[in-house]
Amino acid sequence: MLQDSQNNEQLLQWWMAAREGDVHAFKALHHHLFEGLYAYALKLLDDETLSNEAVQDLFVKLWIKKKSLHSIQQVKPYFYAALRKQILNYFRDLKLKNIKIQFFQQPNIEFSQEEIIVKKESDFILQQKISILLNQLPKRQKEVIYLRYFENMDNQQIAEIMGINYQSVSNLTQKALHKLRDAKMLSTLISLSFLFQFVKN
Amino acid sequence: MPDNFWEENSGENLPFQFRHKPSTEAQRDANWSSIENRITGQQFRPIYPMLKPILIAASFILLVVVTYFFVNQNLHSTEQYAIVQTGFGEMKRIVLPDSTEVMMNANSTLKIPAVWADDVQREVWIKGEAWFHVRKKTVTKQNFIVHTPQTNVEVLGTIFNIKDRRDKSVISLEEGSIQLITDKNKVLTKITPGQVAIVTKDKKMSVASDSNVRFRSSWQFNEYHFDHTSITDIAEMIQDNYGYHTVIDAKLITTKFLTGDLTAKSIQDFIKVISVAMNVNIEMKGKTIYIYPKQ
Repeated sequence: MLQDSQNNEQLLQWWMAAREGDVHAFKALHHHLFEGLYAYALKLLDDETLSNEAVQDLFVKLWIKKKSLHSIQQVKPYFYAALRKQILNYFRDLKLKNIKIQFFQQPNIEFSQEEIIVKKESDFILQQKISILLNQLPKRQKEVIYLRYFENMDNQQIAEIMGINYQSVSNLTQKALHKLRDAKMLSTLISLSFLFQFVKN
Repeated sequence: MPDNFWEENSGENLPFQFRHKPSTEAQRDANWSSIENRITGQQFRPIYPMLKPILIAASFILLVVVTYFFVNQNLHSTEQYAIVQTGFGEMKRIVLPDSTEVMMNANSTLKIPAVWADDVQREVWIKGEAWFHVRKKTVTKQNFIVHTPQTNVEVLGTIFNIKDRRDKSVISLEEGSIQLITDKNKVLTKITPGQVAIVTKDKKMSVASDSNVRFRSSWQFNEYHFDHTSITDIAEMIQDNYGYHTVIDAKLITTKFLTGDLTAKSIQDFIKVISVAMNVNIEMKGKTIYIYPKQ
């Protein structure tokens, strides 16, 4: 966490310099944030070209608006929140034009097994099981899990990005973790009942 | 899963970790270059850096008519649309009021609304062939729709070529993302860069990949790319772009194909190069071109 706050200090310095028109500082911000923002956009849009454009649009828009943005304290969450809002607006506009889309108010994040690391790196089946469990979570819980565990955001930061309050983030996290544990128990039960039938036959 | 897999990890720690599918440095740097171009206000940046020398050369040998539309949006015009046409052998570069660039090939018609406003969908109608570089509307996010007699192309900000000749629309996407939609805005298919979609008069649609998709718009630099192209296809192109009727000797139709690139800035150049490359005799009489085997 100490590292994160030092990190924010650096980002904030770059942002302040960028606000004064320093393109190099703005580039440093981009350099630092690109991978995470692009990955997040990819989760929301599921399209590489659109995600690439979304990150470009975000930086261009923030550059244009930089003078009027005074109150940024937490730089990274601010960029994530702005990206999320931009993408949701994009989908809202598509929706208005009667184009069939997958989500509108709430992104639906999908996890894949390559994104999951377990102690035994090669435990393919475990990775697969975890990704299936994760994908069964409700949309908001998935997004909380994503921001928390992929992006190391804390509850306050997640609340800012998703536009919900601190308590909701905490509740969503707890529910998600509970479900994952319940699911584990359920899968044990299912395998037991399988075994039971097998024995009966 | 081990029995105690979840239980041994109390609190909010998960018994596993996540990792991003990493993006490459090249991806990041390309992303930044685009941003830098847009924020440092280089208004006349080259369309593709690698084509810059060609562009400079082309500007000397090409007679490009540059037409700008200054549309006063407050005026109530009786004309709802403006129409731009090119004659045979003529190209026109047009900059639309939203900064979208259109390069029109010969013998083509473009219809555009007389009034462009932020709350009105951008749409144009093309017959013939044109290359589009649509400017993305980052604030209003207005889509851009190109209508052809065969289909409708919905664009978000992108570079592509549309050829609508002989009751067939061929849409080749170079960059960005477009989708074909019906008249009622229903999505037919999404097209990704490097793909070519063909829609016929009876609304039959097919999508294929073309690794050389950029060659499909190189006509704007007077460059033509042929890949086992039949002499009849070339004759059709001559007819569509230059307005000459062609008569081909029957012996040539199934035997003559052309592969390679050529540069030609006029029909005279064009037939000279073709006759050498394909080893045929070509003769122009009035508005008719005769192609026959060498004696």
